[in-house]
Amino acid sequence: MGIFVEGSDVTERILAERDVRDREAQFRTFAEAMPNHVWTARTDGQLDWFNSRVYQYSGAQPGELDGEAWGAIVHPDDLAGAAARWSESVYTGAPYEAEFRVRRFDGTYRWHLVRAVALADAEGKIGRWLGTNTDIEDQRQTLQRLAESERRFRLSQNAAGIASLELDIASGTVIGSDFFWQLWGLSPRASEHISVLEAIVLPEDRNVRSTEETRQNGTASLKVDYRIRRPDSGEIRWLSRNIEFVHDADGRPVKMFGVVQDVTDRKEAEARQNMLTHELEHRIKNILAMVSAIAAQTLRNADLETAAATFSERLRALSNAHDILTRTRWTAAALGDVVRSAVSPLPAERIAISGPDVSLGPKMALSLALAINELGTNALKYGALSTETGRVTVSWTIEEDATMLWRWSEDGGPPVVPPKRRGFGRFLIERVLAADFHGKVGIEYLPKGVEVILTAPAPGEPAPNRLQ
Amino acid sequence: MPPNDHATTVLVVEDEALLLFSISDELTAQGFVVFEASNADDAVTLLTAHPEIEIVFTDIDMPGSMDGLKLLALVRERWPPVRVLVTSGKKRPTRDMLMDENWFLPKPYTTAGVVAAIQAAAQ
Repeated sequence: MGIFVEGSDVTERILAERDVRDREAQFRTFAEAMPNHVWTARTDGQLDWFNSRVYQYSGAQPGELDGEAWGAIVHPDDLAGAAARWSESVYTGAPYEAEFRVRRFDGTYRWHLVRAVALADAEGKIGRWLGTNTDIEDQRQTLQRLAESERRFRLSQNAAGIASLELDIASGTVIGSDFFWQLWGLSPRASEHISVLEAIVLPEDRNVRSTEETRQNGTASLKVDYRIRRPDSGEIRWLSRNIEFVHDADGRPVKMFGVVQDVTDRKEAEARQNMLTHELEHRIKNILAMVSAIAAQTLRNADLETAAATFSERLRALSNAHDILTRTRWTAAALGDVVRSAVSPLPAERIAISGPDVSLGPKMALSLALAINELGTNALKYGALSTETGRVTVSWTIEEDATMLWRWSEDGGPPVVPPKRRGFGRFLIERVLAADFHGKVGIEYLPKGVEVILTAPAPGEPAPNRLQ
Repeated sequence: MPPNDHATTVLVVEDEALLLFSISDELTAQGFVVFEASNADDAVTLLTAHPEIEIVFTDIDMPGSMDGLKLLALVRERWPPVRVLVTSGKKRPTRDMLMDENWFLPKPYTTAGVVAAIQAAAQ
């Protein structure tokens, strides 16, 4: 019995050992067949077996990585973390997972995902650790390239002031980039229902955007500009939106992808440009009408040769005044500049100019330039400047009651003979100049020379109503 | 020709004084009685004070509370018999705003052209 028992014990042990050997052989066959690195470790954390893939990869000889020597092929920067975590798992029995770089036979390091689990026996006692290393270098590089590409895309979008959006047509959910919410004056969020955005669009522009219907049937305009009132600042801004539809297998639109840009600056520049173009058009037409009126007046009572010369002078005076106004973008002209420019064809040494700084509006500047041209031409032909010694004084003052007195005064010319008829010069001085300055003009034919006095509210003062 | 009892009374509304007085003088010379205004508000004051005004010649582009188009609409409403001839360098009134298609004169115009148009309107 005892022998039998003894014999029976031996048989069971032999069978059990064979079973272990068989399972070990099965495991190794399986582990060798795997494309991954496979290894095992004892309960104390010392590694005791690696499949041949590990040796092929690392170039190490069997046995060289046993115990803690595996650390030799782990990247120095990753080793401490990997080892600490391994110690923790060995202590707690919790599954091990870490990513670290493992050196290949040629010295290059490749990222691996390393996992290990403790194998328990029938009684639940840990008998061994089984680990695998999976090469994730390519995956990591792809993810990194994708992240870099996304970052570049985001940076370039931000630099260009472009925000991206994605709309799920069925649910009406809008997903936007961080900048997208910023453009809409909203706090950052992952998504929002389209109705929230629609409420921000100015009512008069709501129809130019997509509607529930045009989204469902895919007919919404692909490019639209519309205005919003930003909820954060109350500011009205122009947004420009470009979209594309994505369709399902049946051709039904399911999503809208697009970009949005704040184009307020461009819109304002366009509006300014349009305004300037219209303003310029208006001025040109008015100037041509004035030239036409001057021509009609000039030609009325003169022979063609005289009329042509006079007409040229008048146009030159008009043109000089325009030059001054163009320099100030048609806002204002200094009275002194207008006078100096208008008398430039006259002998400068015989003309005295004096007066304080006064700013004239475009109409005043133009009519004063034309009036001085008439006075100067007349002085050269018949007045003070037609002699060797005659002089002209142009002066202006601002009185205490905010009245401006502007004076053209000739002296030393031949005896003055008042003209028999009213020509263009008098028309211009007595009527146009007076009207444009909202004042009155007196022309005196004094024995010493012609004197013209314009009395008007100082430019810049409120103008009185002028009715005939 | 001096104005007489049968002379047509015209109101010229133009903010460019040179043009206003050129047209006004020419119309006066042709025998019209002429009132001058440099903006629409002055024009309304004159129209209110002078019911004898039969024709208004107005620019569209003018400073002030009203441009020529608003003045045109106001005259149509308050003084329906008054004929309004409008001019502009850029805007053209729509056909339904004008009583007659010919009563628009694009700028730049000649003084003679304006006088001829007003003479035609006075017929």
